[in-house]
Order: sequence, then structure tokens, then C-alpha cells
Amino acid sequence: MKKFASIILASVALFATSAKAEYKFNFVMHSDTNNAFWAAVHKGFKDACAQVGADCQMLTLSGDGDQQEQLQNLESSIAQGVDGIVTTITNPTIFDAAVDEALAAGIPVITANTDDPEGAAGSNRLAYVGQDLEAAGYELAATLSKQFPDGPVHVLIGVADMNQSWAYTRANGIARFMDDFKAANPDREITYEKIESGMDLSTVGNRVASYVQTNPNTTAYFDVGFWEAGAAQGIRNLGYEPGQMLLAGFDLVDVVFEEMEKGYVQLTVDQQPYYQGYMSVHQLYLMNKYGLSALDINTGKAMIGPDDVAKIRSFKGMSVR
Amino acid sequence: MNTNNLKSILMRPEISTFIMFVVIMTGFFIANENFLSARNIRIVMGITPEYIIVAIGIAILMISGEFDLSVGSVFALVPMTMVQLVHQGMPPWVAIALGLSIGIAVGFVNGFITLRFGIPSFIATLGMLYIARSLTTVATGGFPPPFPHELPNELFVFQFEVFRASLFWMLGVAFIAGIMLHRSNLGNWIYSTGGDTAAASSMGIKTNNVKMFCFILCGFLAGFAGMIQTFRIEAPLPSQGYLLELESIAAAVIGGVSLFGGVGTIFGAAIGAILIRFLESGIIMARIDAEWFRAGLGSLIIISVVFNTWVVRRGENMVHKNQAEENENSSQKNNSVTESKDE
Repeated sequence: MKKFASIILASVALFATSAKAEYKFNFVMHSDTNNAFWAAVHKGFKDACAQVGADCQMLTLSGDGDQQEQLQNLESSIAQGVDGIVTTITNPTIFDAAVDEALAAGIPVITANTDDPEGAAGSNRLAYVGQDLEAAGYELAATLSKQFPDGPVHVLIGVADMNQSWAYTRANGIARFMDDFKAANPDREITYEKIESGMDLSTVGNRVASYVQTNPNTTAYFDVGFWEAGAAQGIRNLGYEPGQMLLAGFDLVDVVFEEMEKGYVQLTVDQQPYYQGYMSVHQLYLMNKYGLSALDINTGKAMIGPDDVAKIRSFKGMSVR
Repeated sequence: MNTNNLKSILMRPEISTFIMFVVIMTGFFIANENFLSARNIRIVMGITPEYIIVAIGIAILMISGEFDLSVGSVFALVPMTMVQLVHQGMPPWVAIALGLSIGIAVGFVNGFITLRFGIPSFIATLGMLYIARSLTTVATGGFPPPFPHELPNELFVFQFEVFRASLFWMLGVAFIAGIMLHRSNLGNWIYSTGGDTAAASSMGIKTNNVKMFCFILCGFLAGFAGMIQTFRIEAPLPSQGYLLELESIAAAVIGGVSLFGGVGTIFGAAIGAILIRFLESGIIMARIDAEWFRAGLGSLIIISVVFNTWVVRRGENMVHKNQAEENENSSQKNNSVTESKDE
């Protein structure tokens, strides 16, 4: 029994031996570690922490999008007594009390990647470092619309998870453009539909493939994540030629580049996730060290097409983009 | 109390889990003294009662020799139903009653399919896991509804200084379940049914009825616990209770409930659930990095069960050794008596 106890105490003591840093920062995110997108956020977070010598911890979830678990991680970070918290706000209400509690305890909270759908009006967080999700959705649809063929247009919008604010906010931006596009072209038949498309490549591939079999007139598919790459695989299996149906989505991940090179994906938006991890830490550091105030940073809505792939891929090995 | 009594207590799996719990709590406290701060205890104990209630239902069902993998989905479906019914204009208490009866109905269907068609409950409830989760998404009608504040959530989750009202509901559930399982005929029937169904059946116990009761109770408790969680965070989330089925089974097993039926206690399941919650919190508090989070949790679950088994085996050895010694002593006594008679 003594032996067991000492093994356990020793391993716990190991956890505790991290050097005493000046500041401790936590990043509370809404995904599990298997989601490829988050690697660049994490890299930015770690690089910034190393630069300012902070002790940093990124808290992931066992289940992608489990908001109750994310709330618990946020509350645990407050209990740890850290010097700053970066979090995502994936639900308009459930994180409000915890954010207020952190601020009351003197812990600055900024959001990154995903903000409250109402922004500063919906949450007391001090700033947001990330993409304007709705605007990025609008821009994505506007840019792809230049490739729409003449005649009637039917668009499918894949809302990865209807319960996640980042997902439906982007989808709302896409839908808003489609409404504007329809108003600008009153003589054309322009329609769109939203489905809950899922959050892994094969699920999205299957759902989109099923959809287009019953709706073969679908002109384009928009995904609110990077899973349009799954849709590309799905329609390829149905015998679609590259470009026969337009595909667009968000974020730069390898599988999207591969589909762009094959000609199946036409467009993606870069939200520069490295900045989201990196700039949040620097903000928290400067706020703690010099009392500077937080500021919003729009990390971008750069449109990336097949022509940009070679250049971006040359940076890819650095896990930054 | 002699040493034999003490050893037989130590031999009980739930006690060794408790010892493990104390060791781990001490370890994490050393890693970060905030681990046992009032604030952290308040956070963990806000969540724990919900998981204990589910673990109690799972433990009783496992003791009767069956599984329920649908508890995580029922945990989401029941409160989602309640919220939607209130939005439809139904009085809150009627919505609560109807919601809870969905938990009961799911338990009944699980039991009916398992017992009527003689298929493993693992399969029947695995199917229900998907069905109930899907129904939850259907019930959201596309987007999760807001929480209707006419629901009496304070009654279930009011925040006292450190604890929430849900702790008292959990204690009530544990007390009633404990009396039922350890002090009533029904409890004996559950243990006999899980231990050896054929033997229990030949003794005249209606084993199918006993199992059906346990399925229904498990579904009801999962729904009740889900309702408490929704009331606490004031938002019905379709993702609620994701992977809860595995966690509840892990809690029961850590607390000494046998995977093969017939063995286990309410106290064990509760302490198993508490251990998992504090492990989770402790890992975060010890600032273990993201990539290691699940590895850490998984290892600690395995370590705790290995420790548990080791203590039980050690206890058994001690008792056997003592019995052997006693037998030796008594046979020596007998020998000396015979010798003295001979003289």
C-alpha cells in the first residue's frame, strides 16, 4: 500500500514541478485535440507563452463541442487562480456567469476564435481576437458567387452543429449574402437550404452526397468549417467532375489544399488561427504587466483559392498556417 | 473490534476506492493548494451530484446483471422535452412529470427489448443511445431553445455557500436506493438475480420483473439527473451527457460494482463518481497539458481499479492467512486436549 501511495504522490508531484512562472494563462477551447484546425491556435498560444515566460495551459474537451464540459473547464481555470483566461464563447448565455465571476475575481477574460453572437453586448469579456464570423460568411459567399453559372442557383449551407454559435453565425452570414444576391437578381431563381452537416469528413461527405442525389440541381455547397473537403470526397464518389458543383468553406488545413489541387474545392477563408492563440497571450501579458487595456483584433477574412495553395503550403511545415 | 473485522472492512472494494480517493485528493492538493479551495470544491460539487445520480442507477442495473448505454442520451432527451413542453405552453410541473416519464418509458423499452427478445442489454441500449440522441436533436427543432424561467430550477440547484440543492436531492436518492438495495427484499432479489439468474429464478424470484424494475429506475434517474444539469446551467444542450454512459460504468466499476452482476453498493458507485470528477478537476488544477489530459484521466482510472483490486486481494490473503492460523491454533488445541486426556 505504501508503495502505491508513493507512486501516486510522486507522479502528482511531477505534475507540480513546473517552474514558477511570473504569470499563468489558460486557454479554454470548445474542441477536442483531434480537430486539425486548432493546431495553429495552440502553436500561437505556446509560442507567445514561451516568449513572455508564462506558464500556460490549453484545456480541450473529451467531446467536440460539449459546452457543459467547457463551462466546467472555465470555472476550474478561475479556481486555479490564473492571471488571465482566453476562452471561446459558443453559447449566448451559459458562459456569462462564469465570465463575470472571473472578472470579479480580477482575472481578465478575452475571447478568441469564437465570440458571443452579440459581441460585447452579449458578454462582459474584455476583447475578441478572431474573425468576424458573420462578415466572413458573407464575404465567402460573395466571392464564390462570381463563379456561379448563369441561370438558376441552388445553394446548400452545411451548418456543422446547429448548437454552436460559431457555426450558425457563419451560416447566417452566408444566408444573408444569398438573400442580397436574390434581391439583386429578381429575374433569376435563387434558393438555398441549410442542413446540420456534422463535424467530421466522412459524416459531411455522406450527408452532402445524399443531399445532392435528391437535389441534383445544387450549384454550390458552403461548409462553416473545413469539412467541404469531406463533401468533395462524397461527390467525387458520385462521379462528379471537378467544378461541376462549387465547394467553399473556412480555414486552411491540408485536406482542403489537396481537394483544391484536385479542383473540387474552389474557395476557403483564412482566419489566421495562429494570431488567435498568439495575440491573446500577448494581450493578457501586457494587461497584467503594464495595465494596458484589451483590444479587439480581427484576424482576417483573406480569401484563399487554388492559386494560393503552393505559397501557403511552403509555410505549412511550421504548423503556423 | 478485532483485526479481522478491520481487515474485512478494508477488503471491501468501495473502501479501497475511498482510500484511493483520499490519496489522490492529497496528491492534487500538493500539486495546487487551490484544488481544495472553497471555490473549486463548489465547482466540482455543483456537477458531481448529477453524475452520482446516474451512477447509482447504472450500479443498481449492473448489480442485477444488465447494462444501460443510453443514459447519456436520456440525460439530454428528458430535459429537452421538458423545456420544449413549457415553450408549448404546458404548466412547468406537468412538463417535468411528462419529461421524467420519458426517462421511465426509455427504461421500459430498453428492458422490454432486452428481456422479450433475449438479446444482450449492451446491444438494446446501444441502439437506444443513438435513438434518444437523435430524438433530442429532433426535439430542438433545429436550434436549441432558450431556457424557460418559469421552470422551478432553484428548487433543484439553488446555490448555497459551497453546495447546491442538487446535493440534497442526490443524498435523498442515495438514501432511498441504499435502503432499497441493502435493507429490503427487493434488494436481495436484485443481488440474487445478478449473481445467478437461473438460481434466483428457481428460488421463485421473478427475475424478469426485477430486471425490468432496474431498467426503468436507471432511465428515470438518468433523466432526473439530466434535468438537474439543465436547471443548473439554464440551457438545454443537445450535446449534454455525451460519453456519460462510459463514465457512469467506469464510476460504478471503480466503486467496486462487478461487470458480471451480483456485486456492488450504492456507496461504491457514489464514491467512484466523485473520484472521477475530482480526478478531472485535479488534472486541470495540476496544469497538465492538453495533449495529456485524456491520457492522464485514463491512466488514473486504470490505476485506481488496479489499486482497488490489489487491496481486495491483499485483504483476502490476510483473511485466508488468519483463518489458516486459527485452524492451526484450534487443531493444536485439540491435539493438546487429546494429549491431556491420554495422560
